[in-house]
Amino acid sequence: MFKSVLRTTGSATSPRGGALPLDFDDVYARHFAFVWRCLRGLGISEVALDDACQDVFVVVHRNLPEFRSESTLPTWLFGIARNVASNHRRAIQRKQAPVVVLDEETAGAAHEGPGPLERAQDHEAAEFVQHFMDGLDEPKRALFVLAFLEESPIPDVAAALGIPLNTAYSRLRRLREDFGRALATREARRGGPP
Amino acid sequence: MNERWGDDRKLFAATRRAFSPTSADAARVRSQLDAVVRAAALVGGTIANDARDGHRTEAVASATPARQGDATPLATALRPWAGRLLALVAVGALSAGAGYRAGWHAGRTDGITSSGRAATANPAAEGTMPPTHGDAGVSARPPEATSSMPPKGLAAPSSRPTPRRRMTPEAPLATKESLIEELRVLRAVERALRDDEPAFALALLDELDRKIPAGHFVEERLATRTIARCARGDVPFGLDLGADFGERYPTSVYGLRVKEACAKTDPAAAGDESGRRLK
Repeated sequence: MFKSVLRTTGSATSPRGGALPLDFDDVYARHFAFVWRCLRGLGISEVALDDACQDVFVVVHRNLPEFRSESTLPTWLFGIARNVASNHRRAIQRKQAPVVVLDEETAGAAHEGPGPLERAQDHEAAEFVQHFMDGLDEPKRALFVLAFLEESPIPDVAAALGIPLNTAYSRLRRLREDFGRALATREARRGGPP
Repeated sequence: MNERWGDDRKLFAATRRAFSPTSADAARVRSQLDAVVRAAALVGGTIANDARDGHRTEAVASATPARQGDATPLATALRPWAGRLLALVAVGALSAGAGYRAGWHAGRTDGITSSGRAATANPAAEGTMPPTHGDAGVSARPPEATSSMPPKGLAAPSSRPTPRRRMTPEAPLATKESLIEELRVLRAVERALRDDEPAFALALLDELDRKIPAGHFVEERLATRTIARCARGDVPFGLDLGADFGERYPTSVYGLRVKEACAKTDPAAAGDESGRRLK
């Protein structure tokens, strides 16, 4: 069962409520996959993921000693990842670099456990979801990544994105409807469910 | 609707699996990250970029920046210390003594210096005091490098520096441009390895040895060279490339990658009379 990283709150807080120093190695080990997935979800292409991920953790490395648990660690990480992704997107737009779509090779490389059939199915699903996300503006995309892909609790999502809780709920409802319509259209074209 | 949403969640779970990194991804990014942090420590500070402040130099998301001659985040991360680096280099050059000359010369016999190890082995690299080249050359060199014989498992650089350049403390090492260039090329080498182009990676490393023979990142150069050679199927006479790297840098973050890359070559077949290369 997938457990959202945003649910691991309080990792930087002692039982008495005081701040504990966070170890960078530990943060990296526990949250690398989360950062990586978020960056992919936020539109970073496969070829730029190393750079983007590195940029995120460079910022983390610098600022971790000052991190005071004012928000959850994953929320903080997501905020950094969001800014890094934004910078990367701007750089790509300015350079007009080609957007690399998920191909079979890169999709296969993202897996270590499942077999070829499962990988192909995952790749197909990821391609569709990514295509849908590409049509969203940045705030909606961030919401989609955290709430749907990472399955984070909505109050945490709202806090991470800095929006009111009710706004988050209403946007999610519309997103879910839009996604349902996109999926229905796809199924109609294919003549059956995914 | 709930049933519909259940299907959607399966889609999201599948997407999450497809988006997840491998352990190799984590190790690769970590080793690159260590190089950046080490470079920052080398010039006496911590990384000063901050995406949250909006002061971060915009990252380049090009697929192959090194081949296009673009700056990389590695390079941009070092820009704030460009002036400080020059000052540190000046201090290092002034404080370098006989130990520097002897140590550096001994470590340079095959185009590789141990100065890069100072960033991790020398407490001065934490930013309180500049590391001197003398310290680096004497204390941080792997035991094997003290020999006057060329270290095992290293391809000879395509063009060796002249003796005069090797004995000159102000060699190419002593510029901020060389540090940035070295990082840029090493990143390109990483990309080449990731793209399964070991020959291209080796060509980049050879070119780097020629342009910057006295670089800071000895371990990174040797690690990537070893990985590339193993990926290419090199089986040098009487030498296990992976084991050789492991002996030189037993605690290297590249250790696992090197081991995996070289696992495909059979050291027992090294020096095979037929001279064949194993796949």
